[in-house]
Amino acid sequence: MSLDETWTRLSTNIREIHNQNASNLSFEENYRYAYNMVLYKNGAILYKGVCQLVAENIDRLAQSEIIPAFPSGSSKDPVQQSQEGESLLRAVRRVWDDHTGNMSKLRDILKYMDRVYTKANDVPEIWDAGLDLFLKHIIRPPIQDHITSAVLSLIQIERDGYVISRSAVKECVDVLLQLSVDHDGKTVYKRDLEPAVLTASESFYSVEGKRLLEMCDAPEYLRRVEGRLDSEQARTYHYLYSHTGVPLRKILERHLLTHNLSTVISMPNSGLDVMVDLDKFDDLNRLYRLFIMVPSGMPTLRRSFKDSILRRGREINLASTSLDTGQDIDDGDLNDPETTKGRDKGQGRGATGPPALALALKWVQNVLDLKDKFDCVWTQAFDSNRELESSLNEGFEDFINLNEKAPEYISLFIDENLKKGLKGKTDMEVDAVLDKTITVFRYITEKDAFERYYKNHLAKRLLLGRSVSDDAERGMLAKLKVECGYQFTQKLEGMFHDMKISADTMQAYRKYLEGVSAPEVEISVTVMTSTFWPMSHSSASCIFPEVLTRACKSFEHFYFSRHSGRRLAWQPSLGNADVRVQFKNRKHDLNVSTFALVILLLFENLTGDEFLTYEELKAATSIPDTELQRHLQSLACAKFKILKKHPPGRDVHPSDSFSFNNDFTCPMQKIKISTVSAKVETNMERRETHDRIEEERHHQIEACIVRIMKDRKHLTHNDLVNEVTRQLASRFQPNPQNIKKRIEGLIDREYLERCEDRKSYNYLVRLHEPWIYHVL
Amino acid sequence: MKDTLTRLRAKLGSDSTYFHKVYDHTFTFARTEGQRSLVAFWGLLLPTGLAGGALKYDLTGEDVDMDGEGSSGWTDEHTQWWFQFLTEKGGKGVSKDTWMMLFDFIRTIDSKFLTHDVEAAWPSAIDDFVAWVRSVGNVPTPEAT
Repeated sequence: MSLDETWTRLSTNIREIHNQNASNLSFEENYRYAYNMVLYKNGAILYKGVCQLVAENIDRLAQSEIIPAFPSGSSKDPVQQSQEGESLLRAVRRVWDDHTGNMSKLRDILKYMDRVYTKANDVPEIWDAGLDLFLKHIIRPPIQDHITSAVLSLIQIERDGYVISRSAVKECVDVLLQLSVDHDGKTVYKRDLEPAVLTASESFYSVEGKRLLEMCDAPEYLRRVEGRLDSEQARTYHYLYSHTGVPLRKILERHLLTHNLSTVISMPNSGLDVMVDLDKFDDLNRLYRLFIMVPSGMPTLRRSFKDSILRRGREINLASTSLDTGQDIDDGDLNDPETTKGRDKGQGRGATGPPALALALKWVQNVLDLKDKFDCVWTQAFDSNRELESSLNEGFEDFINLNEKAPEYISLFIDENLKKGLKGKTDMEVDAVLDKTITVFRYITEKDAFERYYKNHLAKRLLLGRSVSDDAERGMLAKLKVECGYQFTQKLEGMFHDMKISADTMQAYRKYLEGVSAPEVEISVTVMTSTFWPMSHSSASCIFPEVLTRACKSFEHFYFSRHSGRRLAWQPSLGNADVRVQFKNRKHDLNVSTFALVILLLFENLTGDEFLTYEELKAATSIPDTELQRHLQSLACAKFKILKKHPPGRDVHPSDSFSFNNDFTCPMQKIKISTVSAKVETNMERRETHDRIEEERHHQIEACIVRIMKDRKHLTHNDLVNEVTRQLASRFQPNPQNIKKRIEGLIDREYLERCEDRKSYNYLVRLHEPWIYHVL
Repeated sequence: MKDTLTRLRAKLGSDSTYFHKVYDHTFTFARTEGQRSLVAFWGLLLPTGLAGGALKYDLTGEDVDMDGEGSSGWTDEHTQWWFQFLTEKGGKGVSKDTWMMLFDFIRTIDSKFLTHDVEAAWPSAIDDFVAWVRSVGNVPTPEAT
């Protein structure tokens, strides 16, 4: 057969294949035609001829299938638009399927050509040539432009909420993924379609971000964003290439999250603060999950979280101080200079009554409630995230330490919970409350102030027998030991020890009394080791009447027979007494403070008409003015008037005189005369406490400096300051200027010297250092 | 004798090391006379040192970053401020440490006190002095960091 003959027959058959009439053909025949052509060196003609045929076919298909399917562009109706887009994309796919089907058959027929001709002549194999032809004839303007815009418009329609045919898009995208410009270069998808999709997404989401911000409140915004993220993920999965997912997501994160983080979280009436108010855990959780997707999300969230705590914390602080200043002023008598004097002496009655204590307790309770609330948010909505935990702690630490009364308040709260007669709480409940209180205690920086208050409150509880139980007290102590170390609790434990020993001592004393003549007055003594108890060394004392002195001497005699080398100092300011008093009507059993007793005893032999002046009382008892006034008040100006004050009134003045109130009546036989005493500190007491704490701190700093320098011998100024701060952190935060002053003091006393370089210090060895030991 | 005195006076004014020695010793000597004599001795020593160059502004050995502002250091005017400060605020008396460190302070502080580092090891009296000088407006207060 001639070449022409062969080629004519073969090309006709190829056309038949293109017309889907392959079934009538003989594979073997066509294979032989092609084989012969190559064999007789006509491979070039064969190759070019086939390519020509394929190209023609592609053009024909494009003409009949694709071009008619171009969208008209005239419709605005999304449903119609989507249908038009869909039919174009399906047409492209159909053409592709036809083409590849054909090429597959041709490849089989032309196997020999591929093996022998194409390689030798450096042309692509027929399959690849077919792909190139498809690329050249289909993927070109205007067809490609229509394809791209159809895909983009379908994506947009779907983003607008309508349903599209995802499979149509997917099938077309698959085509583009299989076509590469160079044989191992980028696919058409990557080169052309993906950038277009990303650009369109960028502009869409930039608008969407702003739009959502305008029309949604915070929870709704977050819901929508979550929705968008999910839908884009689905989109990528269903009909885009998976690698497109990454840059696409970044676009969303940028426009929907990163740009709008602070606006959303601080939206008035719906932002984080409000969500916390309303315990909207789902919304908060969504916020958390979305925010942590972007780098600036967590810092924004942390800040907002902390601010929310600070805002509420400051309110709590404010609530506890608002009534304070008001209460400080006594109503009436404002212009009376004597009253003013009395007030300055620490008798500010107004601020010390029950309302002040209630404020203190309320403050602690509010803080505990706030902690509960935020802990809940943290665990339920924020997945117990560590970084948020530290923001939470920072927030609490900041506002709690803004309230300078925090150490006192917490101690009062614990005091209240450890006292007898607390209604309605089981042991376990109290224990739970105390555990929570410890977590609040941890936030205080001035732990040494707390220690001082706690000691005082504990001393009162122990001495007045008010503890609910020894176990509860010791339990609390154990908790504090864990937090503060054994140094803190050493002295406190000493107090407990003293109580126990005193009980034993009293037992022995009573036994002793059986063998000797007992004094008329029954006495019960608590012996306190002075270093353990928070007594001011100049505790008020007074002149005891004979009857009391005899009782004291009796005990002393007994005590010194058991212990030698000890000194007992009687503390009447802390004691109380039960005394039976005969009035005109009947006898009453009164429980009074020791000072009050001493005062009362002076009236023992007086009639109702006789009176004693303030000055006389003062001379006879030697009770200091503040105490004298306080106790006279409790006897003559309070609810139960055992004495009459002349002139009557609420305050005691040095010009007053007093008489026994024989006419006193009361339905109860037993009466407790409580002293008007402060639970919460008055301002003057607070200043005093503050001064003492400052003094104590000076000693602590000095001892710390000496300890460090003794160990290190030589240290720079900055290192020394830092080390001191570090070592004292568990008790308080020393001021660097204070540390400097202590250093100077030590230089002056030749514990340290400055070095030549003016930046550091040397430790100076001393022969003996007596004072250091007592402070350490 | 007179020549020796003249020579020594000149030496005092110009020789830093000699001045330092005399200055240090003066404290122990003056303390026995009482607090006020310290001021008097300062009044004697400082102008001499300033005039003769013994108290010259000397930054060798300092790693201080100078940008020209506030250069040229302590002057007689600063001495007057120091005395004023002591009168107003120096109730507690001057410690040996403060006396000694004033020498170094005079030699290294710039005239506007811009380079003073309150967190360094200067005695607190000198810190207070700088704060006082700033508060009365004699030198600018630096911006808070």
